[in-house]
Amino acid sequence: MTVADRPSRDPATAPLLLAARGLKKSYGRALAVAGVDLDIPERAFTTLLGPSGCGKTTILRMIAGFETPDAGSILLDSQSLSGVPPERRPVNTVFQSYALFPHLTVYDNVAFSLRLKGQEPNLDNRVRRALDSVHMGEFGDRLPHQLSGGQQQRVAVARAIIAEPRLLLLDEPLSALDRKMRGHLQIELKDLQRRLGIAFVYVTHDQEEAFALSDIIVVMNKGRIAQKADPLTIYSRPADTFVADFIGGATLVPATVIAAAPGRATVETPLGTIESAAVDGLAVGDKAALVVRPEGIAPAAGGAASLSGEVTHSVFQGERTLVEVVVRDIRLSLASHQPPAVGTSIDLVLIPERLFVTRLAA
Amino acid sequence: MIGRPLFSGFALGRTHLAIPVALVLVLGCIVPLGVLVVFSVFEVDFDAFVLMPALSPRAWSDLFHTWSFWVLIGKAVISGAAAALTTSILGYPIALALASAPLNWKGIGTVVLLTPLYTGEIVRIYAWRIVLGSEGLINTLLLDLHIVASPVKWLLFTPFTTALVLTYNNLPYMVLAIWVSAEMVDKRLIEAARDLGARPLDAFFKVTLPLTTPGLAAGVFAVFALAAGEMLTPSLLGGTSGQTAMAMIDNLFGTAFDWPLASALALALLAALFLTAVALGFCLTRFKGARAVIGRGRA
Amino acid sequence: MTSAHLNRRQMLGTLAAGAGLTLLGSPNRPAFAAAKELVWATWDSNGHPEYVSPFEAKTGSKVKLSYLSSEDAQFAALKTGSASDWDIVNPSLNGSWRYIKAGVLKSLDLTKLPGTANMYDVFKTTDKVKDDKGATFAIPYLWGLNPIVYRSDKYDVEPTYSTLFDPKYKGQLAMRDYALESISLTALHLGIPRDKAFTLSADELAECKKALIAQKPILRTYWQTIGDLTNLFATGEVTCAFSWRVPYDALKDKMKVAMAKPKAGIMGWCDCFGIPASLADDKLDLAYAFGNYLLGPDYAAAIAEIGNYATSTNVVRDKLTKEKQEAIFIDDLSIMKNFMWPVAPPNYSDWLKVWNEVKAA
Repeated sequence: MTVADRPSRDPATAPLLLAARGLKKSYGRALAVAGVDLDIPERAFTTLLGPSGCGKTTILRMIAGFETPDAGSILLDSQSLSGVPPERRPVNTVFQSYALFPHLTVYDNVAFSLRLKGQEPNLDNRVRRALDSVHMGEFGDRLPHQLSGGQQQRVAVARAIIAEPRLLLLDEPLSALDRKMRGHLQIELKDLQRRLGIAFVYVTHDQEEAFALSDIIVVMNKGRIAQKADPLTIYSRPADTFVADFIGGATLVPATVIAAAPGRATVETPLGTIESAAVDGLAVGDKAALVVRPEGIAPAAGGAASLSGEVTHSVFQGERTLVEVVVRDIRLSLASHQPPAVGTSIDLVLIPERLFVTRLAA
Repeated sequence: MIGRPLFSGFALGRTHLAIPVALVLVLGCIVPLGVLVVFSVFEVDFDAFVLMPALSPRAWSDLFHTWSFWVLIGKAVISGAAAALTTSILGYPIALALASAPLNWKGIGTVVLLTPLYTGEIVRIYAWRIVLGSEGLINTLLLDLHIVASPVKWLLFTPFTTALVLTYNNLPYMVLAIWVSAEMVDKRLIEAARDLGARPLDAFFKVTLPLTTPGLAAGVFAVFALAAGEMLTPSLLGGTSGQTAMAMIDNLFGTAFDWPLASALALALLAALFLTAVALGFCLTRFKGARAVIGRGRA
Repeated sequence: MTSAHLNRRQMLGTLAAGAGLTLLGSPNRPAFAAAKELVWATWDSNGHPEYVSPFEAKTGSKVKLSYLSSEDAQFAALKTGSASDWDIVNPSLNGSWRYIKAGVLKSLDLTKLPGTANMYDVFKTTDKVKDDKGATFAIPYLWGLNPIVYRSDKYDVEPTYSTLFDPKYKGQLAMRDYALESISLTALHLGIPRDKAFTLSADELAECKKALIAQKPILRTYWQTIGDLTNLFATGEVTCAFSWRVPYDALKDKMKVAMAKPKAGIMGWCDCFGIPASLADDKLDLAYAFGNYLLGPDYAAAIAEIGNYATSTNVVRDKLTKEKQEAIFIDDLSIMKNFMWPVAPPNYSDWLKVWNEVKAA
C-alpha cells in the first residue's frame, strides 16, 4: 500500500523525478551555483559531494524552497516548483543540526507535519510507525535536549519521512556525530531508503560516506558539477584531477598526451610512457594527469621491474600496510602484505589496466 | 551543598554572590513595603499635621468603603493589561523583522526604537497634542482632504488617546524584550516548520511564539507595570477620563496629608498589580512547551 | 528624603564644638558672612533675580532663590526639617493656617515690619495669618485674581461660571483639576452665595457633585498646570476656562483673549512671606529687612512691570499708568470687595472625596 513495499530498482532505468536546468545563485558577488543541470531519478540515493562552498547545500535549499534561484528552473514530477513555497513542495528535509523543535516532545516533533494537515485519523499509528522505523519508539515523551546526537538524528529522519515526501533532502545529517555512530547510521539510512523507496538527495563533504550510501554521486566544484556517475565510475574513471584528488588516495602524475583514441590515451610521464584508459576528448599534446592508485602499482616480481624507488613511510592498516614510495621525486602509495622497511629500496611495476588518464581541472 | 566543607573559609561561593541581591531586595523592596504597611495603620492629627503611631483600621475601612478607589485600581489593571496586549501585537512583527535584519539595519533599528525614550515625557505629551489636537496635524489633513467636515474630537482627551500613547511609550520595551528572545531562536527551526508544511503564520504560532515566550513574558511584565503606574500621560492627554490611582495616591500623600489612606491605597494597588502579573505569567506558561524553554534555559 | 542632610550652618556649629576646628570650616569666610546671605523659598514667578537685585545692592547681601514645586512640597519640607537652609518661605494666605498649626513658622514682631502700614485693608485685617492668640506668623505680600480666560472672538457676552456648564460650548471648556476651586465655583454657579462657597453642607456638596458629573461630557479636559492650560488655549483646544491670568498675558498678542471677572465672586490668590521657626537669631534682622523690601516700592515696581502682579501695599499704585493699573487689577479698588479668598473647608477630605468621585465617574 505504501511506497515502502516497492522494491528498489536500478536507478539508471528509473523514471525521472526531479529535473533542474541552468540553476544559478549568487550571494552578493559570490557565485554559489554557476549553472547546474541535475536529474534525480525516482527511488535513487543521490549524493551531492564536494568541499564546503561548492554549492551543494545551496542546490538542496533551492529544491526545498528556502532559496530562490537567480536563473534556471526546477521541475518535480514535471511540475515547475517556481513560486511554490516550501510548505507546498512534496519534499522534506533532514537538517544538518537536525533543527528539532526544542519545545516539543519527540512525538510532537514527528507528528508536526500531520497535525498541520488537520484531522488525521491514523495520526497515532503513523507517528508510532515512523518512530519505530528509526528505532525510537521508546522515546516519544522525551524532549530533544534529553536525547543523544544519534537519537536526535533519528528523530529528524522520522519527522521528515512521516508525510511520505516524493523526495527527501538530507543536509550533512551525520556530520555532527562520532565516527562509530556515523557508520552505524549510514547503514540504517541506506536500509531505510531501500525500504521506503523514496528518492534521497544527500549532501556531504565526506567521500567515504558518499561511496557507502549512494547510487549516484554528483561531485561538485566551485558551483558546477564536476562529475555525475555511480560510485565505481567516480572512483575508477574520475572526470578530472579535481574529482580524482577530492576522492583521495590517488597520486596525480603530470602527463602529456602523445596518442589518443576514444576512451584511451598514451601519455608521457616521469614514470615512463604509459597507455591506459582515459577520459574522452583528449588530444595529442594536451597536458593531462595519470591517476595512480595503490592498486595500480605492485612490487615487481622477478625481472619485470620498470621502476625503482625508496620507501619513505609505512602505515599499518591491519590486514595490509600502506607504503609510500618516492619514485623520481613522485610519491606513490601501494598496498603490501609484506611491507619493506622504511629507507630500503623497492622495485615496482605499474598495472596499466588499473590506471586512468584524466584531464586537468579548470 | 552535599560534600562541601562546613567551613569554606573566605572563598567566594554562590551564596556570597547572593548577598548583594538579597540586600537590594530587602532595602529596595521589603523595607518600603513594610513602611507602607506600618503607615497604613497609623492615625493622623489633621490639626497639627502629625502622623501618630497607632493600630487603627480607619484607613483600610475608608479604602474598602470608597468605590472610586476601586474604580481607579481597576483602571490601572486594565490600562496596564491593554498596553501589554497592544504592544505585544505590534511588537512581534517589529522584533522579528529586526531579528532577521542585516547587522547594520539592526543598529539603525535600535536607534529609531530608542529615540522616543530619550525625549522627555512632557515633550512627547505636547507633541501628541500637536498631532492629535482639534487643529492638529491629523485633523488638518482630514479637513483639507474633505474626509471630515469638522475636527475629529475623540483623537485627543479620550481613553483612546491614553491607550494610544501608553502603547507608543511602552512599545520599545516590548520590542527589545521580544527581539533579544527572537535573536536566540535558530532560523533553521522556522525553515524546518515551513519544510514540514507550516504556512508562515503556522510557523509563527507553533514555533516562534512558544520559543520567544520568555521575551514576551519579560515585555509583558515590564509594560504592564509601567503602563499601570503611568500618571502624567493619562492626566495630560486622557481628558476628563485621565484620573489614575497613582495621581490619587500622590494627592492623598500631598494635599490631603492622609498618609495612612495613601499607604493603604498604594498597598491595594500593588496587590492588584501583583496578582494580575501572576495571572499573566500563569497564562504565558500555558503556551505549549513554553515551560520547557524557560525551564532549561538556552545555550 | 534629605532630612539627614546637614546644612552648612549646622556643620559650622558642629565643627566649632569640635576643639577649635572652626578654622578648617571657614578658612576664607568671615564669621558674620552667614548673616549676609538669605535663601528665599518662593515661586519662580515671584522671585526673578532682577526683582531682588535692589535689595542685594542696598544691603550688600546675597539672596539665593530656591524655587518651589508645589505648596505641599514646601509644607512637607518644613514639617520634616529637610528645608533647614530656607530663611524666608512662601505660604499662601489660605494655607497659612496649616503652617501655623504645625508650628513651623516664627511668630513675627510687627514693629520690625514698618512696611505693613502701607498694606491694603483687606490684607492688613486678615486674621488668617494669626494663631488663636492673635500672634502674626505670615504677611501677605503678593496677590492676584483667578479670572475666567476666554476667546473674545468666540463669545458674544462675557462668560460667567455658568458658561462653564453650558452644553452649547461642548468640547471647548476646561476646569482646573483642583477640588477646592472647582467645587466652590460650581457652588457659585448653583447660586450659593460667595460667603458660603467654602463651607458647603453635605447636601450642597452632593448638588455640586451632580453638576460636576453632568459637566464632564462637555469639558475638553481638566487642566493640570498653568503651562498646560496655556497650551490648550494656544492650540485651540479650549476657548474658555477657569484660569490664572498667565494664558492671557502669554497669548494676548497672538489671539483675541480676554479675562472675565464674574460678579458672583472672584477667586483671589495671595502669597505671604514667613520665617521658619528654626531660623537662627543672627539672621533675623536680614530676614525682617527682606520682608520690608517685599512690602516696599522697589519690589512692587519691578514685579508690576515684568510680572504683571500687584503687591499687597499701595506704595507704587499712583505712579503706575492707568493701563498697568488695569492690567494688575488695581485701577478700581472696589474689586477688593468682590474677593473670595479660597479657604480650606473644615470638611476638606469630603471635598476631595467628591472631586475624586467626579473624576472616577
